[in-house]
Amino acid sequence: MSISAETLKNSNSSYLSQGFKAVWPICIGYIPLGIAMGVLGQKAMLTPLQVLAMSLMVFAGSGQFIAVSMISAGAFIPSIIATVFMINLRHLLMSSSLCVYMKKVSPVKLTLLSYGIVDETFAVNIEKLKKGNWGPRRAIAVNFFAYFSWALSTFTGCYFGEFIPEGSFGIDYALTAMFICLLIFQLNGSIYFITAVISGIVAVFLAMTLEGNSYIVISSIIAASIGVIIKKRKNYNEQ
Amino acid sequence: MTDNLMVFITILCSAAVTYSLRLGGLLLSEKLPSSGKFKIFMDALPGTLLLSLIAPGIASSGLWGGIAAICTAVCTYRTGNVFLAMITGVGIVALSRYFC
Repeated sequence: MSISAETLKNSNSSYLSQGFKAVWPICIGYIPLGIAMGVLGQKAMLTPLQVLAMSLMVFAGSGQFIAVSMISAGAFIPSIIATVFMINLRHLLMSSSLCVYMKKVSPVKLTLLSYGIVDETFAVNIEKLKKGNWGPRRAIAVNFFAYFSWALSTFTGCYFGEFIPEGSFGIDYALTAMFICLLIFQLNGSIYFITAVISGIVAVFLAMTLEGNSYIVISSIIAASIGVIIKKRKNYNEQ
Repeated sequence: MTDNLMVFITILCSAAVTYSLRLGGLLLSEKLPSSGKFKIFMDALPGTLLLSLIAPGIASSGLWGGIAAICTAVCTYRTGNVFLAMITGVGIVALSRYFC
């Protein structure tokens, strides 16, 4: 082995080990969540391969939970896609925040990096990037360790999901519990709390009056728009 | 359309929209507004979506579903531990089904 090749190998293993050190708690945390997601997928009549394909191709925890719940509810494809698009809109902002630290990075690395941007990997990478001594290779390693941990957990959950009877252990409540957890992390300020409450009230009202799942998108847009109006008025009054 | 084809199309389209957002943010970062109405709207959207998804379900899940929701929220807020919070919510529902 030439010196340069050996150096390159050591360098790559260093990136991988540093990436793993940064992301392993998230990988562990993904196991129960991924298994819960896989079980829900199985209850929605998805096969383990379909769940694995979804995890490998979409890799978005909340987006996948939502897609699976809407598939099981018999929602139309455009409605599911629109909801996944909206729930993952935040990834646009996350990746644009990461971009500040990715100047002069090749398009290939940017593509690889973008493949694994989710809430958790973003949180790890942005913290490391802000501190310095962190680059695209380590960030990509973080993303892909989390990616494979998630995919494997969901596949396992779906594979063994058929052995878990319907409604047992309250596993069907895992989806609601997961959404509540994600919601709490989103409420960074009174304005977001208010808009979420408005959204919930409008959603309950619309769910009783509208057919299908269209109430999800409609109530979200109404509440977020009201949030913009409230914020603008608050800023105006403060001036 | 078969169920398998529908699931496949859903997965494919979900992947396409998700990656276009992730890659779009990296490629168009300088053109996205980082303040103003767009930013407020975007920040508020995930929370509103999540609550609009679960609110009708919680409203129809009865007393124990509501208690489990509150306990899950409090546990998440106090500990920041998703796994513990999920176990709390799921555990309350499981126990209520067993004993009530």
